[in-house]
Amino acid sequence: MSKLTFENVSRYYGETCAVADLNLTVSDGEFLTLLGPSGCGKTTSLRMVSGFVEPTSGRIFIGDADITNVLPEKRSIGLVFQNYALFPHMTVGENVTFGLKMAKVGKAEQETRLKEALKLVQLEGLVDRMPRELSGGQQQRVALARSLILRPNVLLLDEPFGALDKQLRDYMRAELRALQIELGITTIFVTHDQDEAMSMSDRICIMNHGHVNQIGTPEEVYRTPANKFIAEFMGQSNILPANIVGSGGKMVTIRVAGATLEIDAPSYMDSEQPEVLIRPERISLQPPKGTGAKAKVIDKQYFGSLIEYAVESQDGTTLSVTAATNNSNHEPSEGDMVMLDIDASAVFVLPQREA
Amino acid sequence: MAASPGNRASSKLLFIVNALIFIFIFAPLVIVVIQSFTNENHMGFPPESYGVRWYAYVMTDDDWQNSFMNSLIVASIVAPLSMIVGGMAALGLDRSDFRGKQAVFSYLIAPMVLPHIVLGMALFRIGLFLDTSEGFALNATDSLWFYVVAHTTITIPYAIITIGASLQTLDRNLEEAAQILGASYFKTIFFITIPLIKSGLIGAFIFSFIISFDEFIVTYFLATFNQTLPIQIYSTLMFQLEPSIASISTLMLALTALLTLVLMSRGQLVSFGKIIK
Repeated sequence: MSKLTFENVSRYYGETCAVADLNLTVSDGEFLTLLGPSGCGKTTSLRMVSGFVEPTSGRIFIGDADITNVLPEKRSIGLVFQNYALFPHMTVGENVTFGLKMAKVGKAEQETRLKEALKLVQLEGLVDRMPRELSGGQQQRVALARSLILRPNVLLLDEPFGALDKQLRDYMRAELRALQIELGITTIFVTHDQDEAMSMSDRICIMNHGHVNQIGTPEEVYRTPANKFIAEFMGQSNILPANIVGSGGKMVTIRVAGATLEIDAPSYMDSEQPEVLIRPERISLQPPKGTGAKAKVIDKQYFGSLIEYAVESQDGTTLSVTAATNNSNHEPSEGDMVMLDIDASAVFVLPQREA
Repeated sequence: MAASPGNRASSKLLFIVNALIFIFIFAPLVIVVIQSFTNENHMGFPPESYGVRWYAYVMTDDDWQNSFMNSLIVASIVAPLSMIVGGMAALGLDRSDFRGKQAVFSYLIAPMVLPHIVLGMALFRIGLFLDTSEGFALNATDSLWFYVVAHTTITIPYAIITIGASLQTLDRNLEEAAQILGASYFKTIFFITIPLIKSGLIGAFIFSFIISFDEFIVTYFLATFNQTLPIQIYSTLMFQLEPSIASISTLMLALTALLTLVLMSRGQLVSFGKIIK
């Protein structure tokens, strides 16, 4: 197991820049997710690690070894494809031991390690099946076993859950993460699904147009996104124009969506009219009384465990609000007037700079 | 959907047209097959008596045996040769992207559309050159190895198309998966690519075999004494209408039909048809 380092790595396709000056270190045993919309450079980055795409400039290291010019078959990397890429003409056993066969490992050791690997992914007994006879989840486990049996330094996962239905996806997600922690294998996971990224990663690296926009823990990128793109990409968001109406010491007073709030002044605030992020679950709707900001419920959708509202404040701003369905919450109906209860700590002033 | 009366009428018409086409194509063949079982000394339809004496004759006669063996030897070398060379060309075309790729493809496919009479003349000229030039003196014309060269030229386009179609359906991730698991380029080709395009390779082999076995025009330019089966049939036909021709034709028909059946059972004709379109 080793750390993985990108050092000033760029990849151009003609004039088009797929990855721009990527500097990133994945620590030993870390689960790092490359997250972004399609075309953001995450897959190109992954393929540069596997060796199927050559960087235009920069170097890639596993541990201290420079692998930039090493052939894919010599890199000691595990790779799980979105469609698993199981060899259709080989049994599960032959698929899993393929790498050992290429490395000319003895038959007896192949058998022992095959048993170990299949036990690890709970596929004992399926050794003689053909890939087409397996369910999607089983196929994914075979793909994992096939990679892990070689004890690679780094494991690469290229959208491995894309082909599974939702229930199985949630299950495999937890299982894969548990396995990764158990083995302590350095892992890079590529996805465009922010839920997957949040629930599995130690850190998330968010990319857009070939640039890294932010690297941080799931909580950091959710709560303190580096820019508007990330704020919108990571879950649902209200991004609202605010006005600074007063300041004193480390606090500023802002008006947003008809509400007046005193918040901590961020060090980077350089505008009198910043945009602020308020997550829908951080706003609660109260019966209209007192002097708080009023709003009208214009849409209400029921999702079982939660309700999604769209409300329009008195200054014409539309906000989305989500509330857990429990007995203690006020549950207004469409057309009702409500009071917006926004906690000052829920307001995050978005940095103006675009990454 | 219930069939409307109009529908039913048109499907009836379609059936009749198909039946006519079928009869048109197969009736002459059926007549040849029936004639081949004659016991007489001359061809006639219907035969006055039946037997297998002409089959016995073509199987024991030296000329027929020689030409059959020649055809068999040539086709047996052309088929693997064309599969291998065509396969490498198809792989190269599939895996690379360069300026003029389409031109190279067209060039390789050209023997399929070039008039074979022109091709035959050109190959004959090359053969003569090899025969007579100082330093060569290879006895190219009238020798089996030169038939192999000539036939392979003709069959390679079919091999390229058939194998190329298989390569296009191959998931490239499989090859990358093999590589990342430690397989070198050649091991990947050997363990992954070849097994997965097997039906294309078999298709190319059989197509090439049939085309070579059946080749007439180009070989006619080259052959004098060393005859292949189609040439032997033709020259026999020129001198006498012997029922042996019907018998040998029936045998050829059976062999080709058998190979085509193998092809069809592997779905190769379907993919070939798709490519042609």
